[in-house]
Amino acid sequence: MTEEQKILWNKIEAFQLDDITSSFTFTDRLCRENGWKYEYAVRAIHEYKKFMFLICIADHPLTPSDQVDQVWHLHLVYTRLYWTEFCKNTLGREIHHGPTKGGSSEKEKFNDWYQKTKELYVTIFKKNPPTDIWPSSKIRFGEIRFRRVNLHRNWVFPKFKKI
Amino acid sequence: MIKELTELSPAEVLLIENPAVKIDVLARVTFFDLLLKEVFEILPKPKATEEEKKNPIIRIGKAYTTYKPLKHESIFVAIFSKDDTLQISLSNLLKTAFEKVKNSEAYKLKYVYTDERMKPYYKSNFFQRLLGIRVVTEKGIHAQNEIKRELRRIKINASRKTKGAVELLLAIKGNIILIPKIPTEVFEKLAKEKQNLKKEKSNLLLGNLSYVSLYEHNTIKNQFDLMAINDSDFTPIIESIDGFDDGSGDSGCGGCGGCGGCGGCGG
Repeated sequence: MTEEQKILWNKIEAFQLDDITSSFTFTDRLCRENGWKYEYAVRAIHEYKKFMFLICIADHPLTPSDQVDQVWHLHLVYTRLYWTEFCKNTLGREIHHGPTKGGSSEKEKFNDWYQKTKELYVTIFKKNPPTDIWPSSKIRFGEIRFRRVNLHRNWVFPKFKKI
Repeated sequence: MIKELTELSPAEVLLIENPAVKIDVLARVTFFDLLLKEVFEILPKPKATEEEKKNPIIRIGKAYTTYKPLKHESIFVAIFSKDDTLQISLSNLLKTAFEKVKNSEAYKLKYVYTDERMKPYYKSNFFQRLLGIRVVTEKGIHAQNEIKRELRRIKINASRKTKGAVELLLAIKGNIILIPKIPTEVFEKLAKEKQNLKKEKSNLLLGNLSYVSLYEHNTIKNQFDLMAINDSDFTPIIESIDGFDDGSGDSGCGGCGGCGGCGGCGG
């Protein structure tokens, strides 16, 4: 990391997504909406910050893992926190979120960007991204059938795994 | 000086002294003890607000890599074993620690009583173990009385600043946390020792010297007033954790409104 990059990374790392005066914080909501353990949510937020930093320094587009994307989605919901406090005041630039337009060429494009993201991650942070938050491309783009489920009216059971 | 006060952690001492001690008290002393041992450190923040002083950002300290946490400390440290570069607020640290625990009694049973170090003070037969019951041994009763007597003596000496009070406080290491008012002389003495070590360019790390950091955090302008973090600050955080239930009835927030005037979704 260059000196300039270090300064930016320190700013991003110090950025707090949780409003400490709130009794239901960003992290609380992230856990509730994804069924994540607190420990996992805290780590996913940290990986999200790394991803945003990589976007700022990369000269090519990047793609997050689904877990990191969920943090990003939720951050976008907190519009003032995202656009004003994070993008404008911390990063000094706007970072837009663009979902896929569909089709096989898009699939290839995002697959390539995901690979490049993980490569850049290793180059900058000098370690491999954690596989439970940054899974392989096969899982990242193979397991994408998510939907909201009303847990008041439905039970959710895991499928049997092949041994 | 009784060996319980020099060898056991503050949480263990408190549990022997009073088996009904509340989990927020145990959490607070364990957190401070880990700070003193330099397993954790607090990220300095100039001009911190009152809320930020009570909920500082934590990262691993100098001793983290070499320190072997005790069973009841392990839940605090666990998250850093997955990512030792994390910076985490105290409230989030507590939530990650106590989401693994069902309630206060489960924490005591699973993480404190079962530690080998507590064996002399508690016993249980097969059926008692099944029911989660621990019985205080004779040695436990003796230690309980001794701890009460000794802590009372140290507290009085510390508040009156009697001769030898500073040495006495230093001798109890991490259990200094159990003393409500630590005289500044303790920290001044340690700061002096630290200075001497620096002059000698010694790499020797004295556990006691970590109190200096606490002192610095405690007194430097615009720094975190660590002693301002009370047991009561830990209570609502621990009680808000999903799955943790001490039967208090009141936990978490009731829904979540929008942001008033700018289109919150209330979800």
